[in-house]
Amino acid sequence: MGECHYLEGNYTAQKRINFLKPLINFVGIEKERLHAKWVSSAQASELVNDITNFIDDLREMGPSPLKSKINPDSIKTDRYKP
Amino acid sequence: MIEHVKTIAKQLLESGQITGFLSLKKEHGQIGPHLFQSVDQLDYLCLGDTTGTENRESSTEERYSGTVESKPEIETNRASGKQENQSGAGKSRYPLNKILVRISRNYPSDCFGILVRGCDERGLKRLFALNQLDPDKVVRVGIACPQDLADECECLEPWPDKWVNDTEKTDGSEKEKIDGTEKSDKAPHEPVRQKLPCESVARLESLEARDRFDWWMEHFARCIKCYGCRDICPMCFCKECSLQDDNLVRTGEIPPEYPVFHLARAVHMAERCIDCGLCSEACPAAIPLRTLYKKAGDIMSNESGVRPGYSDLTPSDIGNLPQTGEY
Amino acid sequence: MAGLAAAFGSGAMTNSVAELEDSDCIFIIGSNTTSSHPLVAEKIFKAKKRGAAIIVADPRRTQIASIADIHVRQNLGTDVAFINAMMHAIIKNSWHDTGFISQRTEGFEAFKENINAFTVDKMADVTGICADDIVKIAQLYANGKASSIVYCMGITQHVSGVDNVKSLANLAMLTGNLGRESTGVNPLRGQNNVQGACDMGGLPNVYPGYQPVNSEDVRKKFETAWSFEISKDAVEPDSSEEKSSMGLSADVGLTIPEMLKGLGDGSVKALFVLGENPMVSDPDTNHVRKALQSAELLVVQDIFMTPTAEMAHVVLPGACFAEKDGTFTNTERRVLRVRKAIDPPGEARQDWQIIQDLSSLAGYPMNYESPDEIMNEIAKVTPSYGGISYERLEGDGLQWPCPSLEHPGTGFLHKERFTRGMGLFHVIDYIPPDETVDDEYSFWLTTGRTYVHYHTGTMTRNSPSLNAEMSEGFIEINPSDAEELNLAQGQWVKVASRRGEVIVKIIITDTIGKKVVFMPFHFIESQANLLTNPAFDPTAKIPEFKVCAVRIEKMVKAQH
Repeated sequence: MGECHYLEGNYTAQKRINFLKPLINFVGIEKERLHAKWVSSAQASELVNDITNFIDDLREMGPSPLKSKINPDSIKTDRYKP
Repeated sequence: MIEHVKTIAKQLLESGQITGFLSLKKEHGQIGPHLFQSVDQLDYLCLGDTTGTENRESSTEERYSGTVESKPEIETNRASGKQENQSGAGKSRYPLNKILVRISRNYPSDCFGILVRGCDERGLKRLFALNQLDPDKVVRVGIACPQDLADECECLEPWPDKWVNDTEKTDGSEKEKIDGTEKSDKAPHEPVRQKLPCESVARLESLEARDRFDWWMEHFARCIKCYGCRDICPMCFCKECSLQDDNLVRTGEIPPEYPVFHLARAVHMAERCIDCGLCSEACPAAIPLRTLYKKAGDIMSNESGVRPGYSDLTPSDIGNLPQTGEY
Repeated sequence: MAGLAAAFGSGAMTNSVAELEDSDCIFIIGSNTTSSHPLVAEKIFKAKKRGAAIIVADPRRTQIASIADIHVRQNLGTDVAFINAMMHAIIKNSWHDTGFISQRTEGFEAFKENINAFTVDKMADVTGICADDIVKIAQLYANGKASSIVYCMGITQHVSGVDNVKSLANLAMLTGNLGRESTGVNPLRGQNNVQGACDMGGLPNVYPGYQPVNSEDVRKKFETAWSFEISKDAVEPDSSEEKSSMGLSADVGLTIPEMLKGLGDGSVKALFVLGENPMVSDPDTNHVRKALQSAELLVVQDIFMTPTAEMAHVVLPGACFAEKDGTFTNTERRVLRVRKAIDPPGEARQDWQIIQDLSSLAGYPMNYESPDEIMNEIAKVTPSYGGISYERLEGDGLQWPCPSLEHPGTGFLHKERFTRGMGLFHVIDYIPPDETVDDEYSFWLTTGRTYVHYHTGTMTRNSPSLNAEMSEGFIEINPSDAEELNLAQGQWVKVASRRGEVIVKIIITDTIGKKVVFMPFHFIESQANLLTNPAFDPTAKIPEFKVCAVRIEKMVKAQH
């Protein structure tokens, strides 16, 4: 933290993540589905590990509720972006 | 209460301290915002009390202001022979701040008076902090909300820092000094601070995540993308709206992509939403947006120790959460 | 409107919008309510929350359909078959209201006999709705304590438009869902003041208040009210022939299709168009263009330079809603005041002023000072508006009928008796759409609106934010049809009917059923009405915008 190219950018990001987690939780999307981790460009293996672990966690949680929303209209194919 | 507000507005206008007094006006049986620029228009001034034109439930603010029936000077519109109760702070509210922001942009050197409730004042404080209004150009005249409205709103502070109060007068005690600055400093009625989290939020939090999800999605699915929540919002002032950015929210379909549409707005408003609830009132699809924003306020409060509008902090004190128009 | 007038004696929404909230069952047919009438939709949502059953019959899965308890897609133009089958099921199961039928209606026996033939199973084949659903819908509607019908252009814009409406009237009478709160047959009127325009006699066959032009008494009444003697003097006719022609005509005027036809064959020389845009809104645009081009004089009064105004010899600038004083009468018969907020720009003037001057120039002087004065005259000659004055319109307005100054207005019609006395059951047979699909034109096209734009887009397409929301036309096609034609999302296609062809982008969505395509008609550059069929209902003269046959071809080269 604090070593961001954009100065305090990662603090800002952290605050947004901290805000978003409880918010998505409040609308019923598990907050564990949002995950942030700070890695530098020299920490490739750490990044890979973290993503692998995150994917494992997601698998365990099963499909997101967003996949089976009540109204199928809202997940219809992208209208203006072929 | 209304006569005191009128007296203050009159003094402010006559002294030349303000160019206009932004308040509500009752005309043709309708209440709407109005900028009072001359003293003789003030007869039409109204504090948002809709009783008298419609047979709604009797106004319970009488219990709290204790003044409505007993004030002899209220002679407005008795022509219909109906009992008119237009003196109290009623349930009809408008985003006066939003109008003030627009007026001030066009007349930056003029000073304006504005009628404020608790929520309006919270909004003003945020707008001052976000450099949308100049505190030196705004004179607030406060009124407190009636208890039933405060309860409906689950409002944490249904009164501004200072408000017009004339209970002493009707109690027969010494007449209050009214000069636009000196007002009562005690609660206009029994304090009604809600316990946190508010009941509407707590009730949802007690649900299972999946049920909560279904509950919200059912509401969001009714959205007709009218932008009423944004257009009424006294704290929305961006020139370009993220909700109209095709990259964030697809255009051309209703309901708009949800929950993205509603969450994007909640995030965007995180440090601005002062819990006035006008969005919920305006929503033609009756989506309980206020509950969502109340939760956002709770999170802000937990994360940064500050609930927007409840103190005079600057944006940087709140943290670099989404700021003006850049999110 | 003609359908309801024939059945009940009054052509308007029977009940009020707010009453929908307390219905037990709301049957929505041919209305994309959230798009076109979102505030009505709000009441429907509230009713649903209260536990009301919501039934939607629409070829598209609209937003309101997605929250419905039952949504069925009827084949285009088969509404009569569907409603008759429902009534067949109701009678067969004795769900009908015999008390109401015997006390309040007539013509039931003949009607019943006709319904016999419309068995649910047979009609299931015609309508494409499964038999179980028809019965279930019939049961829900018939057994609701207070059931409402809500319909819109999906019902009326057919060659059988009036029959469709009469069938809905039959359905409501059969189950006694009339003359009470939260029931009724409720057409949602599109324009903010289309009800008012009709009320004021903006139809070829009636004076204000639906008083027929061919009634001798009515004609006399209006000749007196409009001081016809005075006007005779004013023009000082110099030939006796003209003198004898003075007075109000007893002939029914022309409908839009007849006017266009008349322009074509020369029997109509001049056309005065007020706030309409037939170049976009009328079916078979090529035919409309030819007709308008052959007019000796075309005058258009509008607030924008519409495609129709561009063809005009004279354009008169009108005033928009914010620039004029007056009243609008909304869909629930509520007369509401409109107040001028700003002055009209440039030479634009309020409509009544333009008409007044034209009339004076033509030899019948009008000297109204204000819309207020006009309203006083309306009240004098229109029984249902008799008690309406500007003074009484403060606040929430008044719902007609409001015959006297003491009358509080009427929330729902036909309480004790129908306007015409007894409610009349009509014998309605199923008439298929005028044009059906064949090998060459194998897709059903239906047209409609979107939530973004209003009608021909004259106003909404001039709004930057609305235009950004939806800036071009499209055609909706089912995924399986798209696959068959090897079409990808957003691709351009050529859509052709027997009358014309347009090039438009596709949207692949299962909102629309198989072998049916949907196009909004707001967009002049991809004009749905080049394709639509001008065949019209024999009574109401409403064209069949909702059904025609088209062919869809993949564009060889992408259009950009």
